[in-house]
Amino acid sequence: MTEPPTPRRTAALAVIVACALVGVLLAPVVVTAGDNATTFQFDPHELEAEPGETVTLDLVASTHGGYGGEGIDQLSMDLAYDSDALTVTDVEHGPMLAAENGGADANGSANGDVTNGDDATDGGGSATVDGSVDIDDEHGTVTIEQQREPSSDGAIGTDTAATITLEVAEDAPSTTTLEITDAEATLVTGYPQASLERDATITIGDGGESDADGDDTIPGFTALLAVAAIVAALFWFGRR
Amino acid sequence: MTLPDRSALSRRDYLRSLVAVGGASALAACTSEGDDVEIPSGTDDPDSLPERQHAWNDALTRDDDGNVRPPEHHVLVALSLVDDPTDEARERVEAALQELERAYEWSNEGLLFTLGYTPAYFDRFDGSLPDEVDLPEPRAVIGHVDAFDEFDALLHLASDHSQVVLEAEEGLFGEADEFNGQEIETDLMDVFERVDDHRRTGFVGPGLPAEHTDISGVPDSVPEDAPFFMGFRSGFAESQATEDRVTIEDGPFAGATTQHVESMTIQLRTWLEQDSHYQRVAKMFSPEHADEDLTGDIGEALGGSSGLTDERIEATESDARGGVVGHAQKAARAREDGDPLLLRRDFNTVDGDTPGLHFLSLQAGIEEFVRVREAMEGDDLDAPNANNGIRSYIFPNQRGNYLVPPRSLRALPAAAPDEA
Amino acid sequence: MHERDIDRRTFVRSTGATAGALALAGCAGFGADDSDENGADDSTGDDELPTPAFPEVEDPPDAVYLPTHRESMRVLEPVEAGDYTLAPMLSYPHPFWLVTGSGGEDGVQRVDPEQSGGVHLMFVVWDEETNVVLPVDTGAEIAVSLDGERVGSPQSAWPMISQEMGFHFGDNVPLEEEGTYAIEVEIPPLSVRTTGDLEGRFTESATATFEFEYDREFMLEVTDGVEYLDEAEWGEPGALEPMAHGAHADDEHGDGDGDDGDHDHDGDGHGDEHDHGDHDHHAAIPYSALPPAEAYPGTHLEPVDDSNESSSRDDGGPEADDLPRSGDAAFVATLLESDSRLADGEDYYVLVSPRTPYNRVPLADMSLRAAVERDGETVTDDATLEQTIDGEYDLHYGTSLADVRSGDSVAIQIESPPQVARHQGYETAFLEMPPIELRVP
Repeated sequence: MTEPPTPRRTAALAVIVACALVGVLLAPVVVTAGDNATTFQFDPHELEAEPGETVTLDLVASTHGGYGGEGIDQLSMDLAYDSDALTVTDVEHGPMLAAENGGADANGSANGDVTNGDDATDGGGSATVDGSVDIDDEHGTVTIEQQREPSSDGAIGTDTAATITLEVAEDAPSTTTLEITDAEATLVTGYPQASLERDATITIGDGGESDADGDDTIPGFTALLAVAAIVAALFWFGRR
Repeated sequence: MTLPDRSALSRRDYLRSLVAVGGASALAACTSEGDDVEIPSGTDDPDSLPERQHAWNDALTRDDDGNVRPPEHHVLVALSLVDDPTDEARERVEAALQELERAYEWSNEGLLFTLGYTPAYFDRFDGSLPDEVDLPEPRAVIGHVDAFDEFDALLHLASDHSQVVLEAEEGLFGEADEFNGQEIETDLMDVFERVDDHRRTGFVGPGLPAEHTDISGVPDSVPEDAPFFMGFRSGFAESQATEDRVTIEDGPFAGATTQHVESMTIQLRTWLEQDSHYQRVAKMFSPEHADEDLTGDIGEALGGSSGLTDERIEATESDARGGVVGHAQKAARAREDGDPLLLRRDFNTVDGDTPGLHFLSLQAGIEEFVRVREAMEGDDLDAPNANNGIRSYIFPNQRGNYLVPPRSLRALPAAAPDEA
Repeated sequence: MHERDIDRRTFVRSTGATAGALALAGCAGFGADDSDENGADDSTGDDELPTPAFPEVEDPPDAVYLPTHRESMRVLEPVEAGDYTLAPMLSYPHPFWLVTGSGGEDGVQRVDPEQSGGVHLMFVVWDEETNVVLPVDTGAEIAVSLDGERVGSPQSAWPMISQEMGFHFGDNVPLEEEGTYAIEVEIPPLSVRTTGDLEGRFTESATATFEFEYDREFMLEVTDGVEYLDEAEWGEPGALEPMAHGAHADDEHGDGDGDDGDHDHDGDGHGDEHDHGDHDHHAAIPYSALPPAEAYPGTHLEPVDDSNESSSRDDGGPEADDLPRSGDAAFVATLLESDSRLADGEDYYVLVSPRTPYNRVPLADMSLRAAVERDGETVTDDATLEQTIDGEYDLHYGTSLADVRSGDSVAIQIESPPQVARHQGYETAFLEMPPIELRVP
């Protein structure tokens, strides 16, 4: 993270083991998915930074998985930024693709049966993320490819797919964006999901009034995680 | 045909698969599975059996609600005459059938069967069928069908034991040596050949449909205890014609009945996976059944009646204008003085690896079937196709009409028996 | 919708029992799009979270509304079959809603695909001569095969309406493997009354067959081409513009994505191969739009003051504003003189044409009745309006009336709302439909 930026390099494979809490998410959650889609957004999605400052943003992906309860096992994310204002110095793969798929039945269960599903479909929490990163600072693009290993049932949930470290240029304009130009999640069945992307806006500060409150996280996101855990736990306990 | 994989199936499932496959090797496999079952033997006195071939009800059990419980396993053996009927052939057929009756008790534990004849069969005779017999050539009735039963005869074998229906069929055609341990002396081989393309099989009973979810068209959501694929009871005592009602009373064929067999595939995926229970109940019975939750999960709350009051039947037209109308409700419009006209002995099938129904119906004359079937279809109603009963879920593809003569005339009857 | 309620009740009921579960936070979570249902953190919502984690319209209005996204589909070459012409279109499997009966809560069923693999199969059926889309439930039967082998059972296609597609037939069809699929569609004779240039036609059933490639390229095409609207527009009154164009430039809600630059519609990363704008290809496929109100002759019946929804609305298209509404459907109602070809003998003909408020999609498979009163006395009680497709006026409900005159009041009773399945944005409209009170000017 501290090494100087190079115009073009390919990061080595990053392997992250996620979800140490094996079994937490074993129980099924029936969700009526709005769309068979994956959303991509930054946390924070708006932040302030000083000229010359180094900041990090999480690129968070969310998916309910497919209608048959299958998770995703591939992510690809193309980012673009103004290379006069920003320099991407590092990209770390996040644990999103390693998330458990507890046999969630996104089908909406036409019979209104909320207890169906099978609580034995855990992957043992041992899935990892293999990935590659290509930073082209000259053109201001980043290409991130990730693969879940092993694919098994795929990942379902909301978590960080990548953490981006940026350095703000000394002569950066007052606002600049980190744009998701293309992002795609693919289900374990090979069917890609529709994607919904949201860019981040970076406001270059005036040298002192940095905003210290909640602006630097997605407020709902933390709550989301907590609620998600409750949901998972409820179903887990509910089945005992 | 290859036998099903024993290791991949439950015992009951395996037995049903063997019935579907048929043949001597299936019988052998089936018999080895059924060693522990004691099949009651039949009678040496043919006169002790009812004169009507279709007199099954007294030989069957009833459930707690008084509904007749049909035998679980069925085979419809399509038959084609080898030569024109002779007295010798008649004796042979009668002798073979009497052997079946000697070997198996006339019951669901043993074997129930009928032998019916098509209009095509009777065409070969100089005389024509008497006026009392209403047996036209089959026609589409509703929509269109791909095939009609134009062979000569249909042997309907039914038992709770799959090895019985298989053994009876194979024994009659030289592929088994014994009927229930009794050596076979007479078979049908010189008289009939089987028409394999039209052989049909099936099953009916609580839990049996749910055992077929390995078939691609059968979703896992088939209710566990449902006796039929579509998830509801059928054949309610109150909505079935009596055996008397479907019997031809007069003329040389007194004691006979007519039989219609309509084979269809069923679209279970949309029915079970897309429609809600409420919608299924409204489409199967009536919107009132759905609004007032009269059926329970699989129709068990209805007991021995389909729950169709006169008001509900009369409301069919206005219900249709309300957007949805029930199958049972529509069909009940054809009742006469409150009495149903059809005695249904239908059963589900996975012939062709597709879920379906062999809608086997007995009635005094084919015209009555047509009338009820048209009422069931409800072309006269304002409901859109998808909500007009279950018509958008079933796809009839084959029909046949039969005369099921009285027992005394079951062996190759002439069209005008008095003159024969 | 019904389904969600069940889930929510279960969720709420369970919440009290396991408050201690918070300790388990920290691992990737499941979707929490129902998180507001426990009443905990609804307030943190809309202004701060840039995008909901899962795209879904919360609590849509009981009216036509803008969905979250524009669908993307592959359009195949139209096929002729007897009197019918049919245009197949394919998208990815997605939810839709079935309507059975009164349109009450029990009669509306959300249908989610059983699996992600497969297609959402659609086809528009029309008459080549008049360009009239045939918008009624004919009971079209579909058979699917892969390399000549039948796949699954035959099935019926649901009649459906969608903002982009108008009236069409369709269903989600699960497919297991990639390959070249053939679809055989058998369309039975049209059972509805036909008039004008359509009279006496569509009396024979016809079978159309088409093929498509179900492969990775297809999947990419139909998912990549999806365009999300700005989430501020999700659930707002309005409708997406019809996919094939020309007739609806007046639709202010048509292109809903405002000036948010984030939708990846143009260019980079996509290239030209997806071509999801694709308008030229669709030019030959008619959209099931009814003629605008002014195209109908005769004496247009006028809403009786305050009896209808129209006066309270200001968000409709320019035309829909003036029309009486019920359940958000706009109604054109006109009285044709006895010289009209639609009228019997010396009678007048009442023509009632319900349509969606923005795109004028015909609302088929309804049951309507009309009653006429004069000075408080009943003149005609309960006349059934028969569903009819006319070569010029398209789908409408009509009947001949012997005695109608200026000043009479005409009540249109809606016995059943349109019994057609709905894509997102139409599933909460045209359900509860109170009667419409009109008068003859």
